[in-house]
Amino acid sequence: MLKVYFVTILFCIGFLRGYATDSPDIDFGKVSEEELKMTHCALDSSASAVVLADFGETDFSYNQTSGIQMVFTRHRRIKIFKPAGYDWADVAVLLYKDGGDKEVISQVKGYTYNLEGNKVVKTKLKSEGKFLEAYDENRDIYKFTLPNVKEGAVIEYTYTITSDFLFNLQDWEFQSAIPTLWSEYKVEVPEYFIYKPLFQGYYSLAVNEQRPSSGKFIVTIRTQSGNGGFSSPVQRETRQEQVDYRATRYRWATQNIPALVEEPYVTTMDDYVMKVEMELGSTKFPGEPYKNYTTTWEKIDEELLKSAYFGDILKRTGSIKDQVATLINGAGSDAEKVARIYQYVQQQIRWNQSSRLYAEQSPKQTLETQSGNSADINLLLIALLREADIQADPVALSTRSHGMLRQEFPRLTQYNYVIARALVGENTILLDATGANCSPDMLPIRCLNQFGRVISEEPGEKWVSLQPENGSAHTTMATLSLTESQLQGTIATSRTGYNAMRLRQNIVDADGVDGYLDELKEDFHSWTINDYEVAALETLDAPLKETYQVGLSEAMQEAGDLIYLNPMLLGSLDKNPFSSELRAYPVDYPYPEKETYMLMLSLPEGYTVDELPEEIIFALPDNAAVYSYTAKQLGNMVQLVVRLEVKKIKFYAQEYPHLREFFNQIVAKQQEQIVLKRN
Amino acid sequence: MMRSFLIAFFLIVHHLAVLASSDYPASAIPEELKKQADAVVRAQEETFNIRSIDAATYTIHRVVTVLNKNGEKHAPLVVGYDPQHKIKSIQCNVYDARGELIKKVKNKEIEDVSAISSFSIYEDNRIKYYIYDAPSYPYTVEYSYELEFDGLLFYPDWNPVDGFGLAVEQATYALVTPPNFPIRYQLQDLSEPTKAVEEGQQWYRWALSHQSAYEKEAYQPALGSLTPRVYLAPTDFYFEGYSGNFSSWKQFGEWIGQLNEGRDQLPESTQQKVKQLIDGLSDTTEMIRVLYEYMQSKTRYVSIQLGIGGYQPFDAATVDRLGYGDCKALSNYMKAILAAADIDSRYTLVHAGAYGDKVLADFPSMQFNHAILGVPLTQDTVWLECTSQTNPFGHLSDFTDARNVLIIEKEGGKLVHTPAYSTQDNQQIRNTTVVLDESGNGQLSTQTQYTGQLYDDIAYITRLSEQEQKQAVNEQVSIPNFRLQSYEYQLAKDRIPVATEKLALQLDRYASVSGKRWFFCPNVMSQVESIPANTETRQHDVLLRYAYTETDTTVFTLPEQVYPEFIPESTEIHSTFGSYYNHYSVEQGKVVYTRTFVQHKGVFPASSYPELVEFYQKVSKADRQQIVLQKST
Repeated sequence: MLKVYFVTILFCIGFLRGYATDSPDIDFGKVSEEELKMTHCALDSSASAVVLADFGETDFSYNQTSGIQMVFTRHRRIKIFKPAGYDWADVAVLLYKDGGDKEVISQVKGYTYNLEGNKVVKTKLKSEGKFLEAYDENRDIYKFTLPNVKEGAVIEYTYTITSDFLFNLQDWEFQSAIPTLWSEYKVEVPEYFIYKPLFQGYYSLAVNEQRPSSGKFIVTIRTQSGNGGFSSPVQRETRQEQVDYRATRYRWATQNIPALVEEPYVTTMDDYVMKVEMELGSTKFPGEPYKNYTTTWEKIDEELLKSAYFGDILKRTGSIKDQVATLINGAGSDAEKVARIYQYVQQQIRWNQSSRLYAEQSPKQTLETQSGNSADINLLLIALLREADIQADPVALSTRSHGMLRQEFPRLTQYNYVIARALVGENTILLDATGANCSPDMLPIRCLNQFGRVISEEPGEKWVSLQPENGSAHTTMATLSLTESQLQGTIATSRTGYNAMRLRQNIVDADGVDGYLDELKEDFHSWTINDYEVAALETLDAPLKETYQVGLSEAMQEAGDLIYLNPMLLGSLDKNPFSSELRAYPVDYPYPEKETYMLMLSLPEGYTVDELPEEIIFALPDNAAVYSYTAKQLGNMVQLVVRLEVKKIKFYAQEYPHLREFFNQIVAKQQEQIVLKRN
Repeated sequence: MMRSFLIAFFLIVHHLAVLASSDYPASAIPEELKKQADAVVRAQEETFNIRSIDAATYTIHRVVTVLNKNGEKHAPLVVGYDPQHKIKSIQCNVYDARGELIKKVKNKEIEDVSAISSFSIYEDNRIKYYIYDAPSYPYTVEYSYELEFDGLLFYPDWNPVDGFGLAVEQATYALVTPPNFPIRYQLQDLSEPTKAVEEGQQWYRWALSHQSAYEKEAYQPALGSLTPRVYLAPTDFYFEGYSGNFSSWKQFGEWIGQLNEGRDQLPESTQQKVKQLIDGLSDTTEMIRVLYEYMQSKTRYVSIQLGIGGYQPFDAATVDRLGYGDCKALSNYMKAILAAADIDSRYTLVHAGAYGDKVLADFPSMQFNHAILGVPLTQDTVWLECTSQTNPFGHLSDFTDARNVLIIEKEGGKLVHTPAYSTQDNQQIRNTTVVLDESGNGQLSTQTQYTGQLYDDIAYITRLSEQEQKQAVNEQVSIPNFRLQSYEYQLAKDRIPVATEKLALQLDRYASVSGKRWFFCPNVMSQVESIPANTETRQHDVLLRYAYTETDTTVFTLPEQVYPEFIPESTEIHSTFGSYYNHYSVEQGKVVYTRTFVQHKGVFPASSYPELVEFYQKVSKADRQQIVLQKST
């Protein structure tokens, strides 16, 4: 028996019992009065619409011209409460096509039901509301729009998609942007195929069944006997033969799944939606040998190594020799060679913004066109490194927007990206030359998605962590003196890692330092800023430093003998970043962060400190995040040191309230003020 | 929405002989043209050759050099087409900084997509485009294409400076017509064309050279109203079996009237329904409201526009049967419903959008992208937006307010102006109470009325799901730490609509308590958020699009044993752009804060910009002032 996996690593899913396991009694074309009279959804009282039921079924059929095909049928019924839900009556179905083969939609039927007085009015979807449109090279869109939709209407539709693409068995999302009361998917797989169901999500299945069944194909057989001529005339015969097969019947269903709504700090919403995908594992047709499809990561490694657009391309690199010789001429160490080659590719080859696993051009072509997709660039980088006798291999991965990579389900399509790993002495370095402002030891944020896999023939551990050890640090040092209702002095900042990368990128986006300074002045419109300087803007592996002179007149409030001053002049949070009270899925920070703010404040002549904020330190369990605040008086100076460090990058739903409270306390602490008093 | 204006926008263009080898090294661009420029049009030749009343050929040859990343948006080849505007040829080459050919674009590299991004609508406009991935700057893209027009409802305008940061070295436009063929044009910052008769055809030629780039500024009028342009329009035309004359708004309207004629027949059952709905009502406005809400409850917006369907509505009976249609179909349907109640109304064309008026009043031509319905009453006119199921009766919003619109009457078209919203119409009136406890936590309850155009910013929240509503409220409130306890919205759908919002928030440590002192900002809900940037030079006029008034009263109840140490002075600010007033008073354990902020709308001279910055800076400072309290021990 096949094992059904749940993806999430976690505590959040189990197979809860006690749910209804019978499908709701919903027949196409028949609506109940109860459904029409429903005024709101009990799961979400302000939902504009709710999926009453969504049934999907994939079966296999046989046809003489196309052979075995998959037939997917969907029947969906939606209750519409408010005009904002009318969009659910506009349906778009994407149909895959490749060369001459295409998925075909048929049997598109739909009804809208309205209750008018006590009468059920049923309006049928006709051809005037149906359209087929070319979308892109690989997809068509079939659109239809249901007629006569009003507040309180129930709509339903059904369609069938016939497909030759046996690798793309339709997946099924149990969750939607509106609540779903019942969602059910049935798949009947003949013995010739093994598909592996892959689940993800943060809710339980109400039904999870797998049972043996059987089916039959009707096959038309044409035979010809005789070789022509008088004695042996040709005889053609056509007969129908029944092929019986054993099958596996899956049935999965969910009940009362809330709407999926996006929150901050996520990878991609695709990682959180409750769904099942079907991965083709193997086939065994009568009279044919057993065929296995991408069942292990090792096999995927081999496939990639052989591919003309991946491993093989690295062998065809004779023409880049001269380039490498020039680049490493005079380089003393391997580390220097790596640095030079990385820098060359990073600066000379422009990334065309497309994230790919496969190259579209050879390293030589990439050198010539000076632009390429991520695979073109990073495979070129590997080729150049190898040519310089550095051991370098590709690392395949899934970017954050492509979703979490699930090690337990080997599948080529989980990868969408490739970077390089270079070995220099004892050190392993991960390199991605597409990131314009990344130093060699940093990967762009899109790559920070758990782990990747080294694609090489060498034995050994193939999985490598993509998590940066040093995330990002930002230190601000303000040295200010208070005179004549003005705070004046110097601000110096130092940034490393992703924080430095972000500022470098902001400066590029602002067309250089002058443009960035204009933005800074706009943000701090009540400040005067002079002598602004940036150091190490282009030296990517050095900390990025700013220094500038400031004059602030609005930072304090004078009242008689007193001066009130909030010392958090920079870097305070305006608001808690986690505004929602609850969250169903994890918070995913891309990298750990460290923020330090230091203030050295000289007091004006004749003033003493009347009150200082209290010293405080608070932390999340296991020091996953720590905040500390100290304020001291040293002679005529006040010294403030404030630190925030988030070390852990993933916080699960049950940790969320703590994380939110942690930030609540920080935001409150930042409001505190220093009070000075004239002697 | 009406269609095809997109196309006009994309039509920018010459007969390509063969794309010549480039004579366009980037180094040849005059230095003064590079100032403020992200891209430079090196050469652009467009010809619109009208062969007859319903056939023309449009060609363009364009060479543009991209100087930096921001200039990339000016380079792509983008050609809009549909069955009435067919592409005859396309070519595109790319050159490096020295002007050496580096790429000849193949036909299969040119993408072909639907011009409509949304899945929910169906139209027949498509786009072919090609975007070059440049490894470095500068680089130069040269393209040319030819379009065949079948039917001429509009002529492509000439708009060579169609974006910020784009300089033009040399551009020409040639309009070619048969002899004595009537055409009309209107000029903006350009002189009259040179005219010539060549090979029996009439030529009109415009040229622009050494035009420097426009720099983007905050609060500036639309770029399109500033740059050199030629607006062109047919006098007599023929399109998809319909002919007409656009030389006056009256005649333009006659043609629209002709397209709509006979399309307002309702089925008998709906006519009966209408009569039933208004039975017993005597006030006309009330009848219109009832019928408008009936139409809203019965229909929704779905755009299906093919060919003449871009200008001609579905007939009313079809809308009645399907329950959907586009702006034309729904406005026409509403007109038919009113007619069944013997109420006369006017199908009306408008250029909709939040940017305001774009219609050239003295240049009758196809300048519209939307339809609404005007219902004349004895005093004024009620305007009905028919594509929304939620829009309040008679509310124009910023989509169609304060602009020229074309009403279609029996005698033809007439240009009229829709009303503007004043500081009285657009109000935010807020009453807040905060009860502070011993630790500085607060219990806040607030009630806010948002009227006029401010209504729209709030009403959308009522259409969201519960979780999204909470997110929206959480985003809208800018208090550092709070927990949303309850929220409630009420909508009063009038011509000046009112949205009432009630919130209860638990404020965490709103007053910052350090030692014996308490600090808090009494303006808890209504601080100004963005302030115009202080710039050294200002080139363009200052446009303030919206007028509004914000009024606040906030009462804080203090815990016992806490008394004020510092209360800010009240502030009063007057400016051309508006006014501001705040006041603090303390009485018997309470702090009462009042605030009034008024912003005017209008176009102000560029020289007044520093005053706008100063006004907002002062307001921002006043908004953030703090009260200091002391705890007696």
